[in-house]
Amino acid sequence: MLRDITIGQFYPVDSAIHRLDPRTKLAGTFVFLVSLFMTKSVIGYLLATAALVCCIRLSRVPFKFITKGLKAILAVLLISVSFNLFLTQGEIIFRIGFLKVTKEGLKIAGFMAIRLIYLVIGSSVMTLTTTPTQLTDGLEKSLGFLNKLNIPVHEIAMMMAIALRFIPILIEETDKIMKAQQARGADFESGNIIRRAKALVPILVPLFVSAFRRAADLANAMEARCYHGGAGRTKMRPLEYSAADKKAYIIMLIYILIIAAADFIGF
Amino acid sequence: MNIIKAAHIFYDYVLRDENDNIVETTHALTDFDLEVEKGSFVCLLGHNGCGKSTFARLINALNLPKEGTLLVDGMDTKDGRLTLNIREKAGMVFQNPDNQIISNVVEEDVAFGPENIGVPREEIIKRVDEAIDAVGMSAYRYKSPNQLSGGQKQRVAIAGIMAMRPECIVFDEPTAMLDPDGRKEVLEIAHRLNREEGITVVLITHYMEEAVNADRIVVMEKGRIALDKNGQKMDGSPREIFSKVDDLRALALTVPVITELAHELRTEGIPIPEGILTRTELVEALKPYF
Amino acid sequence: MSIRAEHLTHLYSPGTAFESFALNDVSFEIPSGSFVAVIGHTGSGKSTLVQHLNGLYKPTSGTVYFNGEDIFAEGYDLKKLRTKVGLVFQYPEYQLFEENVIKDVMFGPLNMGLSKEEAEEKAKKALRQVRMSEDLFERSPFDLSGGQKRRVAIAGVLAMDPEVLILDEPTAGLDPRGRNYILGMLEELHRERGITIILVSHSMDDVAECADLLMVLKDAELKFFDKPKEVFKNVDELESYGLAVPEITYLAKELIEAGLDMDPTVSTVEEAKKELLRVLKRK
Repeated sequence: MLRDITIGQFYPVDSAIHRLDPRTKLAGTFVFLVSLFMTKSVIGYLLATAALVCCIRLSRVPFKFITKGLKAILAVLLISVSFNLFLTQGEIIFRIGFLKVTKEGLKIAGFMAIRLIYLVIGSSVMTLTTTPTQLTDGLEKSLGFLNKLNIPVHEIAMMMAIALRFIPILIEETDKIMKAQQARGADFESGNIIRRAKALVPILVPLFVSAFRRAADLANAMEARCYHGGAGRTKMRPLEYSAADKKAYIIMLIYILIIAAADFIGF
Repeated sequence: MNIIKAAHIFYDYVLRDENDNIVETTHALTDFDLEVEKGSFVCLLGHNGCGKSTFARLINALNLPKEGTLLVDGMDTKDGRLTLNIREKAGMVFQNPDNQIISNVVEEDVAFGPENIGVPREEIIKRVDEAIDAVGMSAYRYKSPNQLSGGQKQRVAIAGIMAMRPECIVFDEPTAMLDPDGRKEVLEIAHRLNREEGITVVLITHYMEEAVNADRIVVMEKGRIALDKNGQKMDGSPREIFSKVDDLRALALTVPVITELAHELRTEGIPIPEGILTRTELVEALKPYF
Repeated sequence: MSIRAEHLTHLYSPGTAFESFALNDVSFEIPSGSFVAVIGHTGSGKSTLVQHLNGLYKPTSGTVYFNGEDIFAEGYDLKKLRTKVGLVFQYPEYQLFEENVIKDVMFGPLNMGLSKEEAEEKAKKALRQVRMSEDLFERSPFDLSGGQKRRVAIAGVLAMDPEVLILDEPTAGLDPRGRNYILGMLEELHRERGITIILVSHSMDDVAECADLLMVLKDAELKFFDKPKEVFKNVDELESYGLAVPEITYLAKELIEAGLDMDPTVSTVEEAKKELLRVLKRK
């Protein structure tokens, strides 16, 4: 059961977004995030909202999947919203006991909340419509220029892909180790922070040892299949842009220009 | 024609401490000779530590011998320029199914090998199709390995090797972590590939039942081919080897249950021929005494 | 010591479209001091079953009684139960973590609240029971061979002095020497200490020699729970479950079919030898 959990779970359905080249989606997510943090105008936020809603509809992924990711950042969201809400100086609107809420605080907290929520939703659309392999392939190809700076892009992409492959396996192994130690009377629930941290040693040590062993085995298996780095590798399904991707890039360009313009004009 | 030719191989495992001083040296292979004929199915038998897995890793140049030469289809494993060619010719399937699979999708993992050697795109797709078909996993082509059983994962690993179009496959204890069904699956494929595609198979195992169907069994002990009580090398057909029940016991190995029973009955005075391997053979041999 | 399971049922993903039985209405009583083998296909529920016996899994319905007490009742001390019902998982060597062998084996006793001296005593005793030589006590567990690691892991559970020892495929991945070693060690423990042993396995051949009772699971249901010889009589049914009877039992069947009058329930080489000599030497 645990094995079905993948980070940024992929939702398998056919949609315009699913069919886009992963590089396009990476670029799109990047452009969207930049626009979120760049814009200060109401028009900007409205446009961002429209863009997000469009992408969600086009992706044909059910809304509740998209909002799943929000659960993870709930804590961060509450903290940053509260901080901004109660600690910003300015024109006081009302008080709750010793806590004061200012007009500026309300505005900043509001925008911050929107940014965070849109950030998570935007990234979710990306990961829900792209398989881990496509993601790493996309990163590898689009960051290829970094090779000139002697950064081993292919190797890093390969590491990421392998890590994604083994996450469910390591999760299951952690569970097994926990149960084995519990069978020897280990207690992971009670005690203060220090106690509980110490109690993790019988889980972390075997897990690390196991991970290293897997890595060694995997390296042998890869070498046995003639892996020798990125040089000379071909791909069974190489990434190729389609007409839809070109249209998507044009839309992104227009989007970011309008946002910049709206800011410039000063709404 | 010999596809593998090992002559006077020596290999040591050296345990060093933090200052690089030698703590312990284990002689894993000592003056080891072996020739494997093309198209044959050879089983390397022996308990853990006898050197069989060490030898396996020498075949595809994952390790190099300290002394001696190992030729794979005439290519010397010590020649670094030939390493990739050797690995294409001699593939290897390991013990742990999960730790051989790189990708999250079956067909992508099978493509990994051909991609590494720069096979053109259309050819990769063709090879992947054939390899997945050869191991009977076509229905699982787009699945994640996490949804497969141990036996199925090993089949994917075998497909990954087949996609490299090898002439020889070394199976290093491929069934040790599988349940009985998985074991059957893997052995069936190994035999089929040997029979139908002419792939030379070197099967390393400590399960006697798997050795029964090999063409040839080589028993290893302390880094060499084991010798029987007459000083003869324990290297021959399954019937020959499993006749030597006492020698195998002395090596902490077992024989198939039926062979053991036949041996016991013989020592108690019932004249049954040596080298009985199957139930049918034993029934036939006992019939005259009903 | 008594373990009794009553209508034990465990559902995966209850209430969803993926709902399926891991265990379906399983009831049995394990006699004190017996050596029980649990056999079943992969997915039959055997691993899930044994993890209920020490409370690691909770049932959807039904319960387990240990020494007359309901272990899933409110307030039952499961931590204490796990020191009495020891469970050794498959490939237990993967749980080793301490600096050296003796410290790792002391983990269980220390968790029980024993003093360092008492824990060390128990650890040493357990290591001797698994025939581990004393000069390895201070070694790092990661420097040992696979078979040695496994014995240390088993010692880790034995050190808690459990009344019941459950082992999930303790011979998995071992060579014949390793397998015989472990099984021999378990038989010795059973004989000399009277510990109740529950062994989960795939192989009928392995358990034919040492088990007093055989439990067969199929698709989450308990199909047989009887002496091995009784269970082996149901060859066809066992085969329909994807299980085989011991090789020797098949041989007996073929010999009988060929016209020899002999005991059909022989299951080990020793038994078959005695029986065949008895029957053939009469001529």
